[in-house]
Amino acid sequence: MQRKVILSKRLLAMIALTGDVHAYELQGNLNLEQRHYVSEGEQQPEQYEATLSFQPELYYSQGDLELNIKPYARVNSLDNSKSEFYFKELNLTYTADIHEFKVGINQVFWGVTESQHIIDIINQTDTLASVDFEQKIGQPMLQYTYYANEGALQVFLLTHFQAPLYASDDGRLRAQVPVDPALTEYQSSSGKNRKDLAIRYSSQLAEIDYSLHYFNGIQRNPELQYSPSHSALAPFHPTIEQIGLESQLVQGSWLFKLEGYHRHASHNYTALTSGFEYSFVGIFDSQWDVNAIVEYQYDSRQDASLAQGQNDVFIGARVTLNDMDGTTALFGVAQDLDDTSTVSGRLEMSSRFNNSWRWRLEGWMFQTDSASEITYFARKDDFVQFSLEYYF
Amino acid sequence: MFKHLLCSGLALLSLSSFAQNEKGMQIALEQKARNSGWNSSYSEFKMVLQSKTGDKSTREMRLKTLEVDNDGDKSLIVFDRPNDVKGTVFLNHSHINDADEQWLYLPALKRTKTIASRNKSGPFVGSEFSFEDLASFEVGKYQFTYLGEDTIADRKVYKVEQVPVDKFSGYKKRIAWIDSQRYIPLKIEFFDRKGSALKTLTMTDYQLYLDKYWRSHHMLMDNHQTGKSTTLITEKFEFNIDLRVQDFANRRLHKVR
Repeated sequence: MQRKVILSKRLLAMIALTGDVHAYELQGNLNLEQRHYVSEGEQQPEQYEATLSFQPELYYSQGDLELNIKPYARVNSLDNSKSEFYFKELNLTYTADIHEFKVGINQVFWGVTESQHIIDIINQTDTLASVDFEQKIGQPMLQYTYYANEGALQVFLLTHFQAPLYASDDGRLRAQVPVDPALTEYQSSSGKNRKDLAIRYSSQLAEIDYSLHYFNGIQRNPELQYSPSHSALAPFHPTIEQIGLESQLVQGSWLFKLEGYHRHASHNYTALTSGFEYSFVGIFDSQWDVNAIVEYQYDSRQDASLAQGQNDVFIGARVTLNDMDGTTALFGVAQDLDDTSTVSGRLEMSSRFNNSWRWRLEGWMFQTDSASEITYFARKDDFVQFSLEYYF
Repeated sequence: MFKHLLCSGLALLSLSSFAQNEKGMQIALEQKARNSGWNSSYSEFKMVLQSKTGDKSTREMRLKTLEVDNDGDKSLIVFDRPNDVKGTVFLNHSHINDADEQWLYLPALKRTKTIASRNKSGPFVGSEFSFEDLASFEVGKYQFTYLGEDTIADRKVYKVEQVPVDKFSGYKKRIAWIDSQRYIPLKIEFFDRKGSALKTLTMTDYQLYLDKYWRSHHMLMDNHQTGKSTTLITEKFEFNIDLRVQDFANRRLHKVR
């Protein structure tokens, strides 16, 4: 208790010392998504759902101190458990030249590849917000960064594990049997209060950008086990240790990428994603830019029920029209090399109405004949989604 | 006899072309010399994009630039408008001999992405300015030929042909009209890879900073092939800003505001 008082006194003294240089910014967005499923689902026949989400963001700085507040809220018409509120950010940063200290809830991105982000381990993924795994739940942490001339060293102490969100009985795009979050168990005796540690060093070797990391903590994604007594899936989070690598090389229009890890858990295994991005500027004498992406996904477990990309190839392209409305399109196909029936595809297009409004059209399809595949439950969940996005 | 004439004719021709190259180079060196030593700058500007039919769209951004001795400048662009790209940061490390290095920071994902650097000929945020049009003027990037004198707005100007050395440039050549007293460009014509007239840049509203550096506050880029245009209006210029090399580090892009 006394320590807390001293700490807050120091904090006040720091604020007082930093003087008058202050700034603040408020921005954010409001999104309305309308999703239509092509057919009735295996688990839920309803073919329409709408989601409204709101994400304001406040930034305030005074001298060397910065405050970031970014709450996120959404309501869903079909599944109550999809209605959610959490903070993506709620943190205080103190910067002293080459030292940066951060305390609070934060979002951190690790990785270089496009088709999946296997080493992006700091934050929990909000799989209910979007199926592209790009939405993250804020992670409480203490973070220290040392900026060297040609690199950076980051140390994270992750204090409160954020459990994944699961669709309920009413939801679509979920396993045959729903997951019961109340049955969640952890390998660690401290449960979700275990203090996880992550260290990452990024630098450059000749023309190659690379990062190395070490992680010791709760595995972010769970192992799901069927509990006959509850007729539900019970999530189990093992404690893992892993070392990983990211590297990237630019050669003219080529961007070569590799990321992967070796994980020490009940079984040891290795996973990696590697490939390239090639950019065509002004294709066919037009204003259009096309970035072709080819990536190979590998997981040594070779078990399709555990890893989606255990021996898969992703081929995709990002098209930038370079028009006044900032129109972009993205499409991609992931093909399982062990099982030709397992394919998933996505198509996304987005453009601007004006300074504040954007529209987005998305389509996803999941196909497999193999009941052991992780995407088997979603084989009837192909959908098209239209979103209106308001930015301020 | 005839052979002699031909030889001396050729010699004269190459001599005069040598002299033209020399004078073109001298103008470029003077242009660069007069625009050196400003160290760092900050500006706020907007780009008004206009379609063939007259529809308009506005982009607002802030630019921080750090002068680098014997190499291209380092620059940071922070987007403020349209709202959906607010907070996006574009970082460029320009080089004279090597390819430029570019990064994009996406605030929604908190991700810094490396950009394949050959996109210099591509349009910048849908405007008529390409990435290379916005890069710093470096003598080593071109071969010069002096084309003669001309007059723009009652000012005596030098007309200089600039042929990009980089084979990934979007242009076969540029023709620049350089003010003979202030050594600043008043007009630049751009020719595409096939040699056809592509764009004309007209620079007006020049203002003097630190008693030495002229900056245009109104740049109009007309595309003759599409009928579209972009006006770049600078609302604020500041020099001698407290900026250091670390502020332009790709690993610190998330800290840029």
